[in-house]
Amino acid sequence: MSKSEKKIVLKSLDNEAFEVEKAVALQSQTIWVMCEDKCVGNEIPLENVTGQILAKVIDYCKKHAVVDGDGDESSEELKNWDTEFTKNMDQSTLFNMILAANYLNIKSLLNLTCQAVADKTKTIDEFHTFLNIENNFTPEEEAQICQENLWAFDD
Amino acid sequence: MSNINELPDDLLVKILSTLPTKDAVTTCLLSKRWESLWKNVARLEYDQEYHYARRIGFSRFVDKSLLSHQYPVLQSLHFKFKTGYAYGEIGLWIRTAISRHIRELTLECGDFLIQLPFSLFTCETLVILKLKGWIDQNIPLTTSLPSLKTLHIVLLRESNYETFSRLLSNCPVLVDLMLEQRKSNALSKLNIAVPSLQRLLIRTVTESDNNDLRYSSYQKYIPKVAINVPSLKYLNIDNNRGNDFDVVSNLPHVVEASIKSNAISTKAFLRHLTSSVKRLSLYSLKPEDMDPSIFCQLVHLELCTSASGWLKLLARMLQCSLKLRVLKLFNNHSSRWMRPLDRWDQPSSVPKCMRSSLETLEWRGYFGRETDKDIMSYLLKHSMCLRTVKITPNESKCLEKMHQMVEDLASVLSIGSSNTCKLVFNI
Repeated sequence: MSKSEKKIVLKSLDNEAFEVEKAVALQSQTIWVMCEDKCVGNEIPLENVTGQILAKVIDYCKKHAVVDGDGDESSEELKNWDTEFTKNMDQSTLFNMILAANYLNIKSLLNLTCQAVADKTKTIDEFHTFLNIENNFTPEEEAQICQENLWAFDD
Repeated sequence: MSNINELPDDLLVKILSTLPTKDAVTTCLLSKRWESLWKNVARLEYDQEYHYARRIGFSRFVDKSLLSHQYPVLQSLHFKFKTGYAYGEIGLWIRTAISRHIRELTLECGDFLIQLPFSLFTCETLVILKLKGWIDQNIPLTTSLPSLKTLHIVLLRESNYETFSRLLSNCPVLVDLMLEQRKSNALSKLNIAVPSLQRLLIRTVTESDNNDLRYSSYQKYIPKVAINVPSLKYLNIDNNRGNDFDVVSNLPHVVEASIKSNAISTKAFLRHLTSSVKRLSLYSLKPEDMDPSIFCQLVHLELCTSASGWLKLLARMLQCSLKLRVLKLFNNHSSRWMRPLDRWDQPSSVPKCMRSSLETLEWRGYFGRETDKDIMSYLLKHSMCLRTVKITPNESKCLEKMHQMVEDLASVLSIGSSNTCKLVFNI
């Protein structure tokens, strides 16, 4: 395999190009299928992901690429890296990361970002404020749901 | 995108699936769209401690939420029980999960007896099973777990290992087995015969390291754990107070092995390893029991400095391990315990790995005695490719002695062969 075949170019929605190792990009099942089909050249257009988000996804994939088996990075260190990775993302970035991970079909990244949103919202009030969800129940409807689900709220 | 409501339902459900079920259920109050979303989560997770409700409240919560859950496949069910309160219902909950084609079941229980429903042992969809607690392993004769790949068991009390052995022989695709014993070390009559197994961890945890639970001498018969796992890749034995092992099969595919056991069991395992081993961690091994052929591909070696004869072993292993890149020495005993040192007889010629590959050297529990310094200066002086040296001194050292230690090391390092080596001193 020549050197250029090992690399692949990912092009974002806003036409930003990223050259990455194939092993890094192939963590995305979507890209993997595209490469298998051979319907694309060395450049893969990703029409649902902006450059800003794609850059972050590539950071993640680089960190998680399997390196030859004898890397000294323990799973503990990798976990800490994951925590740091999502810690300071604002919610808009997080939602876009979820969409990108879903579109690119990178299971571990999708789990990580979903978990990150969940971790930031524990109580129902946090859901309303952090996630900006408008309560569209009438007071009567809300009372009825509470009544029906009493088992869930009685402690 | 700044609003979570722009995400499609399946991704919202994915987010809810990462929450404890108690929190996921409360989202039904958020808005009309959210009212029934939680009922499609892939995972249900119940932690009794997280519910402030008393016994009835917790049981009712599990009952109702399991019944309300609508998705036809339940990916995962996870229980953490603090007390024996919910004991009677556990069987019913598990049977409900089985009827939903459960793939992953985790039970974490305290010190009360858990009986598992017999139907669990014939569940066709189960892929992962993790059990922790005092589990009655009265396993039925008709066991069959055709999809089970991962089995992790932490036993808080002695158990029936004969039926457990039978369970193992009825898991045709099992790849990952972890077995941890607490409070007791009698893994009697355990027979691990699993042709598909790739990962094996056996650990015995005693309450306190001083409280030696080893079989007393009047017990004439010490049962051995029989190991027959020809496809194994990862081996981890952390059992230096427990049973001996009888390794029946060859282990030609093992790439990573950590063996914390007595010299006899270590020998039993090593006899069946081959040169496919890349990473190895050893606690005790007699130098004369070492077979040089298995070390030639070794990249990563950890060696315990409190076993007798380790100096000879180190010298021989350096000679045989032609590709070694990482060497870690560690002392697993408390600070006061110190084995009188033999003399360090350096190898007659500088080992190949020190000339061409050794990059990382770590020493945890470094005493800084004369012999330690001899070894250290030998390693630093002759290792041409060293990049990182990390030293963690033995904990009992006072500041003054530490200072002396650093000075000694620095002076040794200055005569070293590698000119870009970084020395890290951990205190």
